[in-house]
Amino acid sequence: MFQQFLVVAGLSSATYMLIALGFTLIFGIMRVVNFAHGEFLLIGAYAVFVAQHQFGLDYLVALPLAALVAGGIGVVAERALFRRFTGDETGGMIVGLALAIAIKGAVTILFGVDSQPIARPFSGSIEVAGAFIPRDQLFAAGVALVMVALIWWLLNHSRLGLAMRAVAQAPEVARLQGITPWKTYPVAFGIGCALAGLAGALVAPIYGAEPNMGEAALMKAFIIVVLGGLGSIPGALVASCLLATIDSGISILFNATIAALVSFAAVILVLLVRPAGLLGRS
Amino acid sequence: MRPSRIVLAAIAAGVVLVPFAVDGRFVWHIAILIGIKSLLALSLHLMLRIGQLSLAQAGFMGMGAYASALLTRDVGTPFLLGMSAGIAIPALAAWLIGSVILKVRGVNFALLTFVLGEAIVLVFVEFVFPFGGNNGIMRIPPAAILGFTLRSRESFYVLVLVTTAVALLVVRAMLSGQPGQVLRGLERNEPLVQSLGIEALAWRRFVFTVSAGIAGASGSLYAHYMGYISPEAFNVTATINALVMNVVGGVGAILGPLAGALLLVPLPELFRTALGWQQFLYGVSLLLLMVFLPQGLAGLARRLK
Repeated sequence: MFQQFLVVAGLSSATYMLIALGFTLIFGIMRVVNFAHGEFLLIGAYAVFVAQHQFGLDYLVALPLAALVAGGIGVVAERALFRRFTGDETGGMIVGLALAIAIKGAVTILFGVDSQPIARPFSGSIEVAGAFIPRDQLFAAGVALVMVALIWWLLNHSRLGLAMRAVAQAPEVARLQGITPWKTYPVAFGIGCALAGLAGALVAPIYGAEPNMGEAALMKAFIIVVLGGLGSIPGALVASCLLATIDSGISILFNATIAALVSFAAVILVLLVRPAGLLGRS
Repeated sequence: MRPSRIVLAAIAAGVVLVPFAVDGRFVWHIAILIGIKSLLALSLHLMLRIGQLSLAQAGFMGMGAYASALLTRDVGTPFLLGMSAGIAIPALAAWLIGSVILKVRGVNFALLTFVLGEAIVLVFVEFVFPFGGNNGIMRIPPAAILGFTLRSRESFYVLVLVTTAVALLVVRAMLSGQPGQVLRGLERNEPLVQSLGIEALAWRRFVFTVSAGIAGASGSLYAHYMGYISPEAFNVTATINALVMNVVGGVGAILGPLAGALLLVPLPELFRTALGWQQFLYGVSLLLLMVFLPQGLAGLARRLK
């Protein structure tokens, strides 16, 4: 029982990390709260569905394609919509909400409200120390962790990451150094959306693709970033593990609704002690 | 009174009297819904005035609706007492939780209240006793004042009008005079307000409490008008619609949320023939609005002047 709990917590913290990382990356660099983040997850999941059923592609080919589609749409959304609201946080939030409604509406028109099945790439499970780990979930968690590590490297050890951090810290000074914020923003937004799309494509074979999956993911992302400190990437990673532990623990003991209520109470408790979140700076 | 004010008052009086002139069942229904939704939009407006976007307003509306419905149906409380409880309970909840969550500012506050709103709805879903779970509460008694039952839509419309007018006066009183100066100060320069010896958190908690009370009034009216309530009427989507009303009407003016409700409540009826497309068209029209009219109707009026 306890080993199984550890497995569930470990597997879900990996996907939580991927979702929250994209969200907090976009906020950290652009100060934009992407309320449509859950809908980019939706795009990723349905991209896999289309790739499998329309074009007969293998899941392993569809996976990177789904991330690219979500990232591409993200770049377009940044140029056409979010860029106008740079520095206007409320305006940016409302545009995100409107975009979320439109994307969800479009998905419902195209595919209906029913959950669409997606062929699992792997089946069966392996047994480690008395706990069963489903192969498909292990694969999803593995890919998620590799991507998190890759983004970490990108931000801290590449010229692009340096440019992004510079723009985040001081856009004006960055421009003096020849870094154009207008070129960095779409890249950052695209990467954030691509991560959401990848997360959607990774969970799609496990839960299926359905129009409401974005909302649940968005709520998880919100809890994680408030818990960890908005814009703080280490905070998001730590909070992902924390939320996954609470979620899976309470879900096993009681049910998912109680788990959601307890995680909200946990947020309130953390805020009582640290209003800026676990690793955030006020 | 400036001429522009007289014109505005004349327009308002005209709009309010339209249902009496047209007198169709459907017109009454829409008019009542506009009143109920504009109360919710007004409660959100009050929070926007101190620069804090609260996405938990529909949750407070739900608290008011459930409190009022359960008290009148199961306990046998008179309507006015039930509605008072429907205002007081969310206000008390906001006062209690406000001490913690109002310490959080800006975007974090929006995210936190989003989660709070969802948590309130989850409570309605999870605790089947007394909230009825996903089925909600049915057979809510109609509003009755001093033994006179407001069964007709006309009389209920008058009740909605009176409630909205009272709420409007309360919000106006808070936004004008000395309290108004404090609130504007809180939005623009909080350290300066604090340096004058004004306790910022207590003021913000006061605003949060009143705004939750107004949302509760909206919920109580909704419950007694519809006769049944279910949790999904109070999820974050309802708050987002109220936010959109503020944006369409203009966040800077107190009549903004009312103008927004007037424009947006009938809007889904226009798309009714294309039911599947409703959500998509709504989202796209919002996006177009944000791009081409970011200041809302109030901004447009200001530009035309």
